[in-house]
This record gives sequence, structure tokens and C-alpha cells, in this order.
Amino acid sequence: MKAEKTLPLLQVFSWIIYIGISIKTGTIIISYLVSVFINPQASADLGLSLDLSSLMEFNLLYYHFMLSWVIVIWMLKASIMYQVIQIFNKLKLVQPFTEEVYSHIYKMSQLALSTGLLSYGAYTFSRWISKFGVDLSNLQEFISGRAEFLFMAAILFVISQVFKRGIEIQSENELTI
Amino acid sequence: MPIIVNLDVMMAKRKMSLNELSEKVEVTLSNLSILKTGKAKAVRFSTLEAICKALDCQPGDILEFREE
Repeated sequence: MKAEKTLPLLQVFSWIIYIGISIKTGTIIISYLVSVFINPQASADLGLSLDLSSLMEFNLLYYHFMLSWVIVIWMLKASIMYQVIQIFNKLKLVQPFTEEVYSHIYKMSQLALSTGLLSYGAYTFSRWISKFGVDLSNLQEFISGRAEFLFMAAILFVISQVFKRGIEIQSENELTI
Repeated sequence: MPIIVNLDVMMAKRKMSLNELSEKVEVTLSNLSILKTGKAKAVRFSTLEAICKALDCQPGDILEFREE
């Protein structure tokens, strides 16, 4: 299949993934607010089979802290997908190297790095809490993929630098008479 | 850039307009304009050859090195 046909297809897929992640993030935020202000039992199912009732019983402050952490991680994941959509919107195969696409790839690498680091932090924190006998195996599954995000950040950073050089070469080529 | 393009000087000496030169060297007006205003980053030998032929001059008449 030609790239011209593949790109719109990928754009549709990225929209679907973005909407999916946004819905998941929204579900967690709403469940969190419900568990805090309306019904504490909502902490047993925060969406995506996330059960933090044991943490809520153990320490309410840790519960707020951990859930805020998880929400930020999922918001960052949604932001990464939004950057992907923006890239597909602005990418033109005739002249692919543009400042806009470069800045989106660079932002993606920064977001992936932040997601990876925050996931590591959340994982370490959850392991520390587990030492007090709180079962958080469910959460640890939920924030998996830390190393993958860090690896993705490194790869995207390299791609962004290649893109930056590509912009220079393209500009030189355009200004060669 | 320390490389100065004296295309306008040579064109004035030969009393040739940009349109006329564009037709003779088969380079678009916009590209010739980029070259004339010194915005170009590189010049192909083939373009330089065509310009020298059209203006009956040497590459040194068009390009000049001036220390900044």
C-alpha cells in the first residue's frame, strides 16, 4: 500500500486511540471525584478494573497522591497521541521536513520521557506502600510499560534530531539555484 | 555571508532584464530573484555556466568574496 493511502488510515487509528485514552482518563477522573466526594466505595472500581480501596483504607493522603499520579500519567499518554494526530495532520510527503512536525516529535519525546519517569515514580511508590501490607498488584499492572516509554522517548529524541537536520538540508536544497 | 552576488551589476552592464535572463538561462524568476538578493545558499555549476553564457562574463564577475 502506498504511503499516501496509509497516512489517512493511520490518522484514523490515532484518533481512535486518542479518544479511547481520553475516555479512560475521564473515567478515572470521574471515578476518583465520586470516590472522594460522593461514595468512597467507588475506589473499589475506578474504571479499567483499577481497585484502590485498600489504599484508601490504609491512608487517604496516599490515595489522593497515587491517583493524581495515575491521572497525570494517563493525561500524558493522551497528549502523546494528540501529538501523533497533529503530526499526521501536518505531514506532507512532498516536503516532510518542517519546523511544525519537528516540534511535535520533540514534544512527543518530552512527553514520553515524563510518562516513563512518572510511571517509574508511581511504581516505586506503590512498591514502598506494598511493604505495609497494602495489596497494590492491581495498580502495578496498571502503570506498567515504564521502560518502554523511556525507550520511546530516546528513539523519538533521535528522530527529532534527524528531522532537525532534514529541515536544514531541505532548506539548503530549496535555496540552491 | 561573505560571498556577494553581483548579478544585478552584470545585468545592468549588459542591459538585460531579469525576465530576459530568466528565459535565456531557463531558471524561474523567483529563483533568479533569490540569487540576485543574495538569499541563495548554493549555486549549481550548470546554472552558473548558463548565466555566464547569457551575460557573456566569468563566474568571478558574478560572485565576489568580501571579508565581513
